[in-house]
Amino acid sequence: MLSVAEQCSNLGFGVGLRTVHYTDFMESCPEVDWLEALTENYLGTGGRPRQVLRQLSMRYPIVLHGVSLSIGGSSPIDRHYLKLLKVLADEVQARWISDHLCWTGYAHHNLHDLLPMPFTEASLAHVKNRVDEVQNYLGRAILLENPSSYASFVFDGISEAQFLREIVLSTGCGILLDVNNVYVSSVNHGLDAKVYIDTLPAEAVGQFHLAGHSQREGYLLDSHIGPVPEPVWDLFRYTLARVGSRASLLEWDEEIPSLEVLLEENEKAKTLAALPSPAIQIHPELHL
Amino acid sequence: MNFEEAQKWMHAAIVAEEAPGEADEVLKSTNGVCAHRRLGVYRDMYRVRMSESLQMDYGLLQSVVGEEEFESLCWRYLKDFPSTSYTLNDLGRNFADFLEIQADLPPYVGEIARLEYAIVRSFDAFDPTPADWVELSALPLETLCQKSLRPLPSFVGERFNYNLNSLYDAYVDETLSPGIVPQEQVCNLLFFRENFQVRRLSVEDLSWKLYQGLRESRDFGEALDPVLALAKTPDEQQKLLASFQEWVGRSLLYSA
Repeated sequence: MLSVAEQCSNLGFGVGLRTVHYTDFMESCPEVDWLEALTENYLGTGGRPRQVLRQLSMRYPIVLHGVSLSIGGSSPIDRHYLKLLKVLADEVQARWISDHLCWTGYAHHNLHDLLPMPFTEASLAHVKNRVDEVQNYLGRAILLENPSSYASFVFDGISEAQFLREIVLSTGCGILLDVNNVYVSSVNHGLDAKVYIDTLPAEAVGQFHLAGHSQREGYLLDSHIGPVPEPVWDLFRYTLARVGSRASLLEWDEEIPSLEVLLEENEKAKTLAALPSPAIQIHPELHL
Repeated sequence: MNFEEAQKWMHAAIVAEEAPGEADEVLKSTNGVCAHRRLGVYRDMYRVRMSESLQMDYGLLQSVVGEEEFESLCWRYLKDFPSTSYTLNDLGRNFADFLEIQADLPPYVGEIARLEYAIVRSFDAFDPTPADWVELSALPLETLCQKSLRPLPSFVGERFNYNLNSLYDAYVDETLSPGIVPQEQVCNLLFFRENFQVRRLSVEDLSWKLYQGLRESRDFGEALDPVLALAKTPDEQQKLLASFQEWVGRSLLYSA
């Protein structure tokens, strides 16, 4: 099985491939280090999106990022989905494959949302088994992303970061560390975002996500709208110092701007990553 | 409550018409936000996501029935046909069938949904390599008739009892009048993909029968003969063959 280290080279700074930018990419080959494609938009379709992705895979490194694996779900892993995913990954020579630490529905009904995991010993064992199953099928380690969350369960026994850490150590999967999601969830649940970052095994982080969010009444919504807010850049600085530089990707899904604006925002991430990292101390209360 | 029961509860709580009262027994109220509000974030997002997904594929239907009625139809539909797929592209798979059996709806409502789903099907279809026009046109008629030619999966045909072609034209041109009711008139439409755009062809009955024949028959001859027999004048025969030539010329058929 291909490990995280074998797959996740530091590709530089990529952007999420969105339909509105297809023509830009196809016609003018803009300078972007790599592209992340939303897996489900290219599975089971023979139309333009698949054709575009196939052509772009000859010019840019492609990473597949999914939302429907439901690694934390109670229904059996969808083998048909895995089969299609494997075919697509081979077709576009995906550098790696990622999805979310979440569940998406119950009894084969898909709510198409990244629902919060109940964090218990039983669910931990359940997810570990499913990650093993997926990785064995795909023949490669996958990356799991920390989702933004708006609710947690009264019986949760461990933190999300500890849960993710345990899965990584047991299965050899990697982490897609979404810095915006860490920030959003920490605000929504009143937690310390830096403790979250410190808890994760840095060497397992294969990729970063950066994005914007929206203020709602009493909580932050992971809307992927607008430029990356300053507190997220701050946390990204901290993450770079703690984890080191990794392939980084900017997500912008609401009111998507021109590719030019998107690439300007990406330049900020490049600039930060190029700066020397300040020395930091791991949170003194953290016992790993 | 174990984690599976928790997921079952939360799933039901998200899709339920009314939010359940016991949210605070399952979800934490923290950081000044109560459990009900936290559950509400997921309930709201579910509704927005499903509506937006159907709106994207059924824009004409929404324009004809109005936003409020469309929203109501979506929820009636989703109760019976929640998503069971990894992709939202499939969400409308049963929408037309569902609408066509609702006694309180005029029949054109289901037909409009069927038209819009034909566009989705055409756009997303995986196609084999089309039959080569030069190769086919060089064949003697007898040999051609023995060839098994089929419409590509992206070459989709639907027959309607209302004139939905002009209705769709008006929708595309943004000239659709509010409260419009489509005119009752049989309308045969063929949808096909060209440069990754879905296009429409309105065809007469004989061409429609030939299209159907190609879908169902063993070979081209079996599809053509009964339709040719229905063509009463040389002009009708000519039109029929012109349709076939157009389909081959546009690379819409493949050798099965």
